[in-house]
Amino acid sequence: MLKTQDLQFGYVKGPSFIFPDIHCEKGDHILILGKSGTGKTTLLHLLGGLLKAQQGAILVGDTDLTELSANKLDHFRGKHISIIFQKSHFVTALTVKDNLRLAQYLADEKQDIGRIQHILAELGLANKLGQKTHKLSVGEQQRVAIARAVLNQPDIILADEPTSSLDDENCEAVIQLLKDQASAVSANLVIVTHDQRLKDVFSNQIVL
Amino acid sequence: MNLFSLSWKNLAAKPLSTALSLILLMLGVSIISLLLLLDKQLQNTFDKNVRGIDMVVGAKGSPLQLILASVYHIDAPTGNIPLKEANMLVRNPLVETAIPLAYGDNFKGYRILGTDTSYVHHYEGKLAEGEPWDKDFEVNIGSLVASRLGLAVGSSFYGSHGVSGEMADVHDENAYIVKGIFEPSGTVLDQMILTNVSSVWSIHDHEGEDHEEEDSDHEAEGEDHEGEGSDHEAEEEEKEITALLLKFRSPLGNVTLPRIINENTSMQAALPAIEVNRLIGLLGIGIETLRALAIAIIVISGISVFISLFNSLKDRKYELALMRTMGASRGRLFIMIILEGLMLAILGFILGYVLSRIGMMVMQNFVATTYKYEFTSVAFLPEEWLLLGVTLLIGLLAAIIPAFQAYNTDISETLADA
Repeated sequence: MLKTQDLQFGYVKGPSFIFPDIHCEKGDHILILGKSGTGKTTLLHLLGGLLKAQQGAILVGDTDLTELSANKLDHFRGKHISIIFQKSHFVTALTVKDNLRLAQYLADEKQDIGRIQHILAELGLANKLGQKTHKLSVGEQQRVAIARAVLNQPDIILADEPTSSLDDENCEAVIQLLKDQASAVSANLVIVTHDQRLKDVFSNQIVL
Repeated sequence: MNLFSLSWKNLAAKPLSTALSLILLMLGVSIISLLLLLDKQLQNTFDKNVRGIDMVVGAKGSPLQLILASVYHIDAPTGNIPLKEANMLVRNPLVETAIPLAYGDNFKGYRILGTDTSYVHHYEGKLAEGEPWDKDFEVNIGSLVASRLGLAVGSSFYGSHGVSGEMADVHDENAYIVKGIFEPSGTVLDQMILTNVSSVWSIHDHEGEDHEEEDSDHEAEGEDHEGEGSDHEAEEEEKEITALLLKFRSPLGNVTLPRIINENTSMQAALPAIEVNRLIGLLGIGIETLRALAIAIIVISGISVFISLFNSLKDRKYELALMRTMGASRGRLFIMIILEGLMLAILGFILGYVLSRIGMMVMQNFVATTYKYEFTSVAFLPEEWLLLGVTLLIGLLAAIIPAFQAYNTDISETLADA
């Protein structure tokens, strides 16, 4: 469950934003649409606890992110929130498998190779386990990023422009994959984008 | 997956810059380790062999040469001294013990020394097998001589003229017979062939009659062979030895005797304590230079570790932000970078330690074949704990600025910039 109230943020030498309230029940998916400069990324970073809101509350379950100390916030993020970025990034020194193990380790979860293999197999990546991430195609990288996002069964999956660099066919496939995987772990899926193609896919929408 | 394996994999992912840092660390550590080892060996060798010898009396020349030749058996002797004069000194009331040394020959570079049993007692030599020498041409040999030359009790051999083993002039009239072998003692006794003084005399008396033209080559026998063999009545008076090792009854001997000997006799007196200090002082300049060089290399290696971590962090800035979004705290990233620095330092130290031991073995071989000296201990020195500490400190210092950078990474800004 994800709720925000009276969320505000202003950059020191930049724009200030007042965001509309968000309300998602457990397992709901929501699309946040907005053009450049409307504070999309800022909102995503606030929801992910990467930025500290200057005013307002962000409730994930019963926890208000804005009231957590820095270390508790890091720990909470690892356990409950996953973020998928427009361009997939990994720890380049590590293999696909170790990147996923790192996600388990950093979130203080059990390092479960079985679960890693299971998820990669589900996303058609079973044979990429031992590869370095930069050897993968862009599409494969994005699927590994999705696998990493659902690995620890988070409460919220935040996706920043996951489709903007994809053609129509791949766009549809990735969105379907995200929805399926989020549903499989009953997580709220929050997609922040300017990609108008997604307008028809989500019933729950907020326009910035 | 944990911070150790993560740091390790980060290092392994950049083999070239990691290797550069390691090589520099290794060089610095190995040079310092090697210097420490050498220093210890030298001190050990010098101290052990000089113990209980207050003064050395020999022919005039360089006092350092006299000490090196008579105590350490490295350099050539300065010449010979008349037995008559030497005996007058032995009777001096200030002298407690006087050990005669007579050089002449070597066997395959190991010196054959004419002396008496007081020499053996002085070095606390014990026979591992066989019995003490008794008659002329019977010898007792050191443990290294036995093992390096494959000699056993009952073996016989011919000495070659001189002390260095380079001259091929073999005395093939009289064979030496090994009567006993000493236990290893860690002193010069290990590399000596001991016999009585009269064996050395008789070989060279004989020689003097047969090969007078060679006398100019006899550096060990010294300056003066005139009249030898021509006047048998005077022979007792003409006998010579190479040097005397003296121990005094009281420190007064140190004060009075050297002046008396140097001014009133044809001999010279040298005090080992002074000469050894002089030698170490001379070597010290070289050792200090090398040490400064090694410290410079270690500092440079620290800078190399710093630059390599700093550069890699610039590339990994996004990775660090990513790890933060995956739940890593600032502290964890800080520790990860510190670990990378420390791992480099530990690995560099281990490699340097191994290299220093290899270097020591090579040097050992060289010293053993050239000077017939053997270095023994290669154990971990107490000073090397300090070296390990300094190396770790350098790894830590090199990592601390990059680690603070990682600590202070602004996740949101970094991710938004990418």
